[in-house]
Amino acid sequence: MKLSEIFASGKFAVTSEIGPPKGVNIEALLEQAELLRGKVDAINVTDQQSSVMRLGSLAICHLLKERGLEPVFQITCRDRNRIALQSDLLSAYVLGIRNVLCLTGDYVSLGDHPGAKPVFDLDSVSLLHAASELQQGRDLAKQALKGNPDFCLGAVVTPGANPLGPQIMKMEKKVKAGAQFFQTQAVYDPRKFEDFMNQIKHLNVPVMVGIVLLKSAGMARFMNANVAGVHVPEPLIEEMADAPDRVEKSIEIAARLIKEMKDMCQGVHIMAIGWEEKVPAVLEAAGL
Amino acid sequence: MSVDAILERAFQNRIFSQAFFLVERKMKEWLFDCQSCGNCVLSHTGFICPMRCPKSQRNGPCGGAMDGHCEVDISKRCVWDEIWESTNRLHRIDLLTNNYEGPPDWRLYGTSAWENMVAGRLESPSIFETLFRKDEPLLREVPRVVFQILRNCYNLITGPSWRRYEGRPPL
Repeated sequence: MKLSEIFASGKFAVTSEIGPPKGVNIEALLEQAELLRGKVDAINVTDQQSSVMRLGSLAICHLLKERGLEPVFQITCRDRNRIALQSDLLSAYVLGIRNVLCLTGDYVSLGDHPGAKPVFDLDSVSLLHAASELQQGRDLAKQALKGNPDFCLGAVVTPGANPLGPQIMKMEKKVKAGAQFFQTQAVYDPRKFEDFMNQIKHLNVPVMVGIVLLKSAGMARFMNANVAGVHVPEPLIEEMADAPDRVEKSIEIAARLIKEMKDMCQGVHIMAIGWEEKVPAVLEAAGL
Repeated sequence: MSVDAILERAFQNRIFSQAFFLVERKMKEWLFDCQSCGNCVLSHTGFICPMRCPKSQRNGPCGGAMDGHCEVDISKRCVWDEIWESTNRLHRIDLLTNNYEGPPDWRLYGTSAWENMVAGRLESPSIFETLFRKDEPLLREVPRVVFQILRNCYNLITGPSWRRYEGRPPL
């Protein structure tokens, strides 16, 4: 089922995320996905996150689909040129994958193969454009297709970016290029998020707020210093540092953030980063 | 006869086209740290070359910029931060918002963007159509654009800009 159908029905959409392993032992990954069955509308499968070579997103999306779970195929421009990207989109379609999240991708030198050739033949906007063209029955070279795919295309945005102007400009371009929904970078400040949502009202596109589970005060400080567009306010860090039970506190904070921002947007995307088994508890605490 | 038509005729002369490209390349390397992609969009991006971005982003910043600095090398400024600033100074944000920049045609890599433009090999409109605002007198616009180009060049040479010819991403 496409995420766009969920947005159209007016339901608050919920997605989470799993990251394929480096290697071929996928039992643990599939167990994580099983825990999310019936709790989320779709599961993002990351495409070699942080530029670390791993098992591919397409294969895992297919396995999820086989098991009756709805995947969101994340596809980045880092490793493939326009021929491979378009081909993978077609492959995804014939494997039954309908939700695609188009991203630029982290830079190569940040991962475990820093000497690899960075591709970036397309960017996220031209990738969305390419996918839209495929849906219209032609590829980027304007050649006709035998049968068109039909996707629900997603993109990402960073509401906490500084400066925010260029982010919104690019978001507008993504909508024009065919993005039907957005998932955001982690948000910890509902007030800032509300500002952002007011600035993009004219785009009229569903936005799923990103929630990253805080694992510790140290993680929050690390993200503040090193992760672009993520700012954890000091009171939250202190709350985390003073908590006797970190896990309980983390779930409580995530649930509180979701409750506060639920009315501002059309869905939530929970990134657990290793704590996937905690996601159902977060959803329960948030009343979803 | 339009400038485009005169140039198109002139580019048919091999000596002229070679000499023109030599001057174009050296000037653009010096002024913009041009990467000679042959698919020039400088007139849309506030005269800051987006191909200097490690990810060659032509339509806007990736999500990796930290307060205007590049995720690949935090000591360098995000190329799109520079583009945003320069375009703002020229009051031409509309050029960024309204133009979808298609992926470059790699067959044109290392060739003259001007020749490609007049020969109709580029999808983007002629540089003359986008360079200056229609509602402003040229006498005011030309100095403004020239001043901004020189200012960008000064930042490029002195500031923490990405200069692709100087340094590749760090190990």
